[in-house]
Amino acid sequence: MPRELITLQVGQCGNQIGCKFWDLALHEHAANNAQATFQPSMSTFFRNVDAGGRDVGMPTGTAPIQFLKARALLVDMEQGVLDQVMKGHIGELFDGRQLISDVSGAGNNWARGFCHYGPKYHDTIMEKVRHAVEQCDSLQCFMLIHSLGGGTGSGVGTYVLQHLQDEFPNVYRFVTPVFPSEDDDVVTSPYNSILSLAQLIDHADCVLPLCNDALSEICAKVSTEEDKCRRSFSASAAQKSAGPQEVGKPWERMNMLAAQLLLDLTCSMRFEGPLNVDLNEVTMNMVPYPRMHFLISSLTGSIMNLRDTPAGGQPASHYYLRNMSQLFSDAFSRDYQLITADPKQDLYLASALLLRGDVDMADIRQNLARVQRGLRFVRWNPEGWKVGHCAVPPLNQPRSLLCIANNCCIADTFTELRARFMRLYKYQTSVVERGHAERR
Amino acid sequence: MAVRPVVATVQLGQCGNQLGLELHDTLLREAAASGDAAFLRDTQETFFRTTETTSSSQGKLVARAVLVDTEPKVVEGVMETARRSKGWQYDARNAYHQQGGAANNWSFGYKHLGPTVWSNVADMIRREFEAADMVGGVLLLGSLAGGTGSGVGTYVTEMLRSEYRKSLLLNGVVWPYSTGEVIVQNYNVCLSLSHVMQDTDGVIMIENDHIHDICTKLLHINHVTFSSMNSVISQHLANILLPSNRCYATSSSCSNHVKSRERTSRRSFLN
Repeated sequence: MPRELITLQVGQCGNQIGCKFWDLALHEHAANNAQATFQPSMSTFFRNVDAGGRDVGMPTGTAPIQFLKARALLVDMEQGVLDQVMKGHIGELFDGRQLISDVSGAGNNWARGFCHYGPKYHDTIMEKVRHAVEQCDSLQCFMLIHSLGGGTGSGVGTYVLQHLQDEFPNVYRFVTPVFPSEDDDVVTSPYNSILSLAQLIDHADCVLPLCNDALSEICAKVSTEEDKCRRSFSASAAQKSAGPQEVGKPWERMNMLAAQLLLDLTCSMRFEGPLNVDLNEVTMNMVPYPRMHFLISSLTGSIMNLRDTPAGGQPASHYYLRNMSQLFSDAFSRDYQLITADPKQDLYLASALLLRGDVDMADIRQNLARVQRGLRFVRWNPEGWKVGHCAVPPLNQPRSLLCIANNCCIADTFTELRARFMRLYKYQTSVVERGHAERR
Repeated sequence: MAVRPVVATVQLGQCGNQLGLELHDTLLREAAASGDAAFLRDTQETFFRTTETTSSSQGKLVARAVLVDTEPKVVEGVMETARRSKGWQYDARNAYHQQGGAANNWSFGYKHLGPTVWSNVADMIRREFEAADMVGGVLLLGSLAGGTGSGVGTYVTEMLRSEYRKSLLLNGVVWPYSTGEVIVQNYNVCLSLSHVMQDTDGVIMIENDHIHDICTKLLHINHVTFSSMNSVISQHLANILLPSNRCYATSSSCSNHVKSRERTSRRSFLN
């Protein structure tokens, strides 16, 4: 049975990304499970329970699915988003015991989340985490999804992270924070981000940051390319192969990108492949020194069809398909990074290539040799590559490539965040409400 | 009929298990293709055993192999593949896997996982040797780049040497691609070889770069996969492992080959 992973979705952004993640995960497993039995691969994210909520035996691959419950905790200090989740089509994945909420919200204030709501709900949250851990046979990782710009995701999220390290030191903590964009509408987002970053440096094992600006640029680019592909086919062919409606809201497409990142990162844990890569191997290979665990990521291939309800099965003829050389070129280009960064201009400390689907070793070696010539690697690790290959392709695409890199260009992101912080702090704006901010 | 010394295979990690599956299949296929019934019988005796025929089922060919990994997917997949499609199978009692993986960490595999693995695997190997009339030796298969094949494999090699002092011990090791497969592969390779050299009778070196070149340049395979590379490696291993002497009264060709090549333990690298 594969290792389990518990997801903690904190704050509005965390829960919205989390919803897309669970939706996509269900579609992905459904596409690879024609018999509708509870496969061992599903036990990483889901539990198979009976009507009373009790686990139904071991995942042998032959037991029918009764009720699926996600291995997740949903935390938000206001009820609006969680109510929407429970009323939505994935609400059945969660029961009331997995939700922790309050009424008034953290007011976009990191200190309110970290110093007030964190301690207030400490016992409740840790009790529910312990309960989720007891339902696992071999827990490998906590996955925290949150944003750094608000109050709940940043404050409560980092508070929980700190206590996860204290209580479960042997379980990896992977964090997917959404960094605020430069024109973020939350005025205090620079404070929240920097204060959260300090916690992430100390308490996370691995951080895969995302940036709203970069995500929206990727969505716009992929939409343009998909429109071109669609127009290049005849009108009648396009009508016959029309699938589900394309997602109109930009936030949903961006959330789908984030969700796809998490699925591609964990695909080798769940599905078979010629070269498996576990999450513990990611931290081992990609983190040369304990505090340098911020990894930039780029997704190519699996994002080329951003639809709300993926059709599954073979890609339709007008989908935008990329071959291996294009995937490799895109993975190292500025345009497909999930944060605003240009890794080619800076030094690589380590890089991981996680491939899915129909790829062969000759293509991988050739493209690796080609791409490596244009990249600068640190002198003590000139062949700093970790390669993984999962046989199961992503939804609606024959292959995909997730590239994770430990690159020095992340320093530019930190510098920019610090500059925004200092612009506010120089004039002591909003500092009165942040007792902890002064001490820091 | 002369008694054949048997060879038990220990398949470690993802690489070792995938390669071991292909190796056993190649040994059987090559022996069957020779058309020589005695040769086939001797190959089967060396690397396989036959379960008893009962009233409800025929005797089956079972590999004399122990499957070890620190995560479950590969061992279960390999056993299922053999059972379904190969005409022979692995003994379900000879599979041991943990859950957490070795994280490509040699020291984690050697210091932390090794003792736990050995406490389970020792009985499996003893059972295989007790089922044989004459013990030939142990062949360990694993890669050097990861954590299980390198770290756990090193520990198992040391324990096998202390347990079976006079038996032949061969390590079939797979070197990673030079352009990188695992970032810490250089640590894992150096640490493994420095330990294994003390205890092994021979290290059969298999380099991924070399095998890849064979596939592309000699065999002109367009889509090189790990499966095609494992086939090539299995052919190479079969060349030294299959009984080579037509006069079957003498001992296994493998031990003769190794003993004639090496003079001291430090010159035991075969390729």
